[in-house]
Amino acid sequence: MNAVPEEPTYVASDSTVAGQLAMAERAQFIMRTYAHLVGAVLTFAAIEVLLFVTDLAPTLGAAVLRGGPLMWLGVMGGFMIGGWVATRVAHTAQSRNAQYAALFGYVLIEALLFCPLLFFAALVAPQAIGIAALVTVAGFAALTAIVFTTRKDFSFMGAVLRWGALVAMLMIAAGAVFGFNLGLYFSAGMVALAGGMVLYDTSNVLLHYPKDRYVGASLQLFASLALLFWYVLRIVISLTSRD
Amino acid sequence: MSFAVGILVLLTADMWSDWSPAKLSMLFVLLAWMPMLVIHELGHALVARLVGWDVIEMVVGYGPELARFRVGSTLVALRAVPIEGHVLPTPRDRKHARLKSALVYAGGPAAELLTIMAIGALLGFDVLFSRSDELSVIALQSVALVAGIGVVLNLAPHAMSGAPSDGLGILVSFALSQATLEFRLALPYVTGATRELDCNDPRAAHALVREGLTRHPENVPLSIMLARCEVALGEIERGLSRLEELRTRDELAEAFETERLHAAAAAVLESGDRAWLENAADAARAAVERAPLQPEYLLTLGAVQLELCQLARAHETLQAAYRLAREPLLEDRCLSYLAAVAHARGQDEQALLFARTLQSRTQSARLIARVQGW
Repeated sequence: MNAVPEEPTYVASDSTVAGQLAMAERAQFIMRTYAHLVGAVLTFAAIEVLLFVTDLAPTLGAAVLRGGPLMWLGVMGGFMIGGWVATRVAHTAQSRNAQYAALFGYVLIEALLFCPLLFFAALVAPQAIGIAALVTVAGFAALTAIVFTTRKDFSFMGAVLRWGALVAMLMIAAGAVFGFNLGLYFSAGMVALAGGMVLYDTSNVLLHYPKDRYVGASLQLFASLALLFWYVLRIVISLTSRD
Repeated sequence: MSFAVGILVLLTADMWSDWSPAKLSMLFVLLAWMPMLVIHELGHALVARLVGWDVIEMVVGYGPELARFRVGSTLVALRAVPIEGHVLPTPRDRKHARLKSALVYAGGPAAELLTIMAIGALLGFDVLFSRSDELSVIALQSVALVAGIGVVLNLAPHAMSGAPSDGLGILVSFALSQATLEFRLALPYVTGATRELDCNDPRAAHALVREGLTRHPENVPLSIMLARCEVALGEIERGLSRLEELRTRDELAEAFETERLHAAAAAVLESGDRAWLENAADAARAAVERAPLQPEYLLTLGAVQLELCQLARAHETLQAAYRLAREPLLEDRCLSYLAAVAHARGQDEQALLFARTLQSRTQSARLIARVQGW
């Protein structure tokens, strides 16, 4: 009888968690996780290129932009459900194939969700995509470095991140229903939230994830990275169009 | 905290930039969330009472507890982060228990739907679904929006940390196993007895479990709890042999095998008898292997490891228990044992940190006394 989704629970095939592994095993787990993350990002980029080359991106983008805020709310709802199912499968499925399918499914959903925004960016500020990608990668790398050098456990942020995600969801729904645009400050808040999620997920990768859950761990990192990219891109578009 | 304040400041700035009356809905939806949460939980509680069930507990929010009081026989707890809540309904008998369980699950979303209907009736449904610049209309529309989001989120069938959403709860109610029904019948007595044991009053716990067994004879979870109480009262062999009898009793008892193993380990801990510690460790390990995400089992295993001076293992097990714990009392118990482990390892600064954290938040005099003892 709970009200909002919460952080995923990890079902390990044994009770060992990453923080308890020997150094070598833990290093291997982290390498695998980040290798899968790079794979996910490259797959995401490849899908986007494919969508733009085949002219599907403009079609999808224009359809969503024409549909108005309620259409956008529907798209976001579908994305949330799809994302939740994929995350759940990646964290709990025992079969490795099912975990990979969940990761690919999630990347595909994200790629489709990004289509309208990238289409819009390409239309009004083509250079914004490159700048946002660079800023996102730099930000993600800096946050990752903070966790790896300090080895601080950021799992205490779980509650505030859930609270922030709920507030964001309410704001997005209010914006769509009452017909106003969430502006630059909201995007800045979302960048802070996404940054918090990167810290939280990275410290989970370093300290808490079970050793056999590198696919789920990479999905979680990819989700935070995508959220960060989304709002950085919105800010860059907004600033570029002002100039 | 500063992170949350920062995000709120940015939202406020966003509201005032490019101002329109509709932007006040950002504030209204935030303000409406907690009252809707209370209405949702009251919906469950009210339906539970209507179908003749008891409501042991109603919790609004999660995290550290801010207030606790009784309304009739229901314990109401208010916690720091008002995002989610739950009620703990329990049947008095087995009559139509599955149907009643589904109705109780449906009670929360039904209360939210009724709120939307009431606002629609008040404003007129044409006004409810059209845009307006009137603040009172925007405020009521915001409440309806929050109620609508609540309905969708709660009726979507999914599970969170093992707890089903209302939608999933309605579906699975019709397939509830006999073991689950037995567990629910025992719940008020087991919960009460656990609290009494925690308050160091095994006699009161024993009396409560006996009362439960009078109402529901042969109930397995109650028999397991009775064994724990007997061990806590010093009747160690009697309690442990009761648990051993349950091992081979029937199919229903088999469904509670993990709980039986955990109870055996917890009982030995309660008794303080070191002769049984190795057996307790075996039982606790077996319970954790069967249910690795159950924080109570991890806590007991960690506590046994502490008693056996396996300090590094105890620290890791207790950390895992603390991360998974959702109940304040369980978190407090984890903290008290973590403090003990740190103290035993000579890490006095860390022990002091755990102890201070515990003292600042717990309401358990027993736990405070325990860390003060160290």
